[in-house]
Amino acid sequence: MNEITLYKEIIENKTNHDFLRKTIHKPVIDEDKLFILLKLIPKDTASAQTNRDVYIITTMLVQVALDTHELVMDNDDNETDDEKLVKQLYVLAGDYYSGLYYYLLSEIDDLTFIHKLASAIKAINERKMKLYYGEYETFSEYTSLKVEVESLLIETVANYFQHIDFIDCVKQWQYIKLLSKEKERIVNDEILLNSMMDSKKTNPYMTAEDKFSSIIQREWTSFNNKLMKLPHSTTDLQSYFNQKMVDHVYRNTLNAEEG
Amino acid sequence: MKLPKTYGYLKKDLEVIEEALNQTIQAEHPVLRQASIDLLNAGGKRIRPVFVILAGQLGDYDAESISKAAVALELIHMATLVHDDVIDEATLRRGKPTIKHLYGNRIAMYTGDYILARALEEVTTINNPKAHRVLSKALVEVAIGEIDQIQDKFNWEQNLRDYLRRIKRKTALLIATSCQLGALLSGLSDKEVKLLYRYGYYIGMSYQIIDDILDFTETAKQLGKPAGNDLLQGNITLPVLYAIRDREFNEMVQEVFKKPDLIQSDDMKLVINTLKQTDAIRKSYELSDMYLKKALDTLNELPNSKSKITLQTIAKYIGRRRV
Repeated sequence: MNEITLYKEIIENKTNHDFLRKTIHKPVIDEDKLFILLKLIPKDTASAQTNRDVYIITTMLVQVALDTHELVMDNDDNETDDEKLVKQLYVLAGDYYSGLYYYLLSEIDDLTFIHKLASAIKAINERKMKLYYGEYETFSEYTSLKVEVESLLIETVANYFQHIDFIDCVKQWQYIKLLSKEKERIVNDEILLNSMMDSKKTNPYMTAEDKFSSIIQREWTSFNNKLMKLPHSTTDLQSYFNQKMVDHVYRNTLNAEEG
Repeated sequence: MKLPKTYGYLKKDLEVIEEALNQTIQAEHPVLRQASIDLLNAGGKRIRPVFVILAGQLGDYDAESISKAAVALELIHMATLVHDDVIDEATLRRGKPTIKHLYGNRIAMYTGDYILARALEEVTTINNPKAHRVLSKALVEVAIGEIDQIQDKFNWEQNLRDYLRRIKRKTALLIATSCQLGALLSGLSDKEVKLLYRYGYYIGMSYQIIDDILDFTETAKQLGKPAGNDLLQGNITLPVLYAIRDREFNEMVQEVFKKPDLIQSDDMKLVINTLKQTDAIRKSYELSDMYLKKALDTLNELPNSKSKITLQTIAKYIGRRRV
């Protein structure tokens, strides 16, 4: 069993609750973030193997808590009783996972790490408010907010373990994923955020999809260069993201173009 | 006598905590800030901070850590309320519009998460590992209690034990933890910490039972929400558990709640009036009184002091409280 599968199982077990499991699906665990955490907190960094586990698990619990609360939508008048129950349990499941993060870290007495993660949650919610109210004027402001929401937690852990060289990579990877999603949405005519793109930086004769493809390619090259320069860069780190790029970004692009 | 009068002499300590609460929720985003301030200004008895202070005064009172713990507990309570209003689809709380009603579910979720994060940021500046183990465990238990409550909705088969376990997690635990934290942070002995935890637990149980009684005995105006609202939401509370032992009430309530979505206010009036005809309210008060007696007995094992007298007065007040 590889490390990602192992930790996913541990997190699923930690968050296991009979009624939640019966009524709502298992928490979705972001594999990319989990993989980055595994690389960020190498086995020889934390004081003991058990503590390494706790740092990884609790950070992912916070992520899962935030992601679960994102599933709570604004009211729908036509909501069925079952949908209402699911919504109620998303609220409570998120709160439960948040409580678990605090509980597990208090067991190893790392108050500083609890504090740092709480600060990240605070900052993430501030940015979510801006996104909710559409408080951005340019595409760049929008992506910057989205990338921060997705990377602030890992950035906090990177700072805590003094691996700040990871931060740029994490942000860039989130940016690439976001661009690929936006490109897919444009192809599907869901939203035309490209109208917000700075026209000076892009060729006005290019189609929206081409613009995105071009930026994604540029970011991917830059990301790869950064990845190779990481002091703790390993071949599995590079091959992981190469595979993800193929699986996620190119497949999305392909699906969208075929669709 | 009103509850705040019983601890009027704590006014200065509570003002410090109120100011700290206000400072803690000054978010950058204007809506997040306003939502948090609205919630704070909606009032509340600040019963958790009061218990932290009173328990703290029984030992070597460290104003800074006591204030931080009190602020954290009140913020945790507030965060729970914002999310509860999403769950219950509540439009009013203490007679004022809820955050969910004013800004929508998403903003209520962000506000609750923000407030909880601020609570943890503040409380983790207290360097007392045991206090964090106690508080974090309580937080997990409270969440489980809320999930249990959803699971037990409209479950007419539940028994007294289910109800007591649920209200322990829902209410009694945070009050018990408030007392325990105050005691821990002021260096009281293990025995005294345990006694104060038990006092808080008994008080919390009694407090919730009386809350559940008042849901049937008080008017909508006094409650700030419709009478019988808990039952309407599917929460089977102690008075209902006692009342359904009465065949007439049992048959009537089962019939009315066959289609909960179609229940009219006249149906609820009938349910409430029939419940009042049974011995349910009296028996509920008896159980509440038993917890209060246990709370008072627990205090007897602590040395005499002004704080102890106040804790006794609060216990006596809770037994007589109306809303």
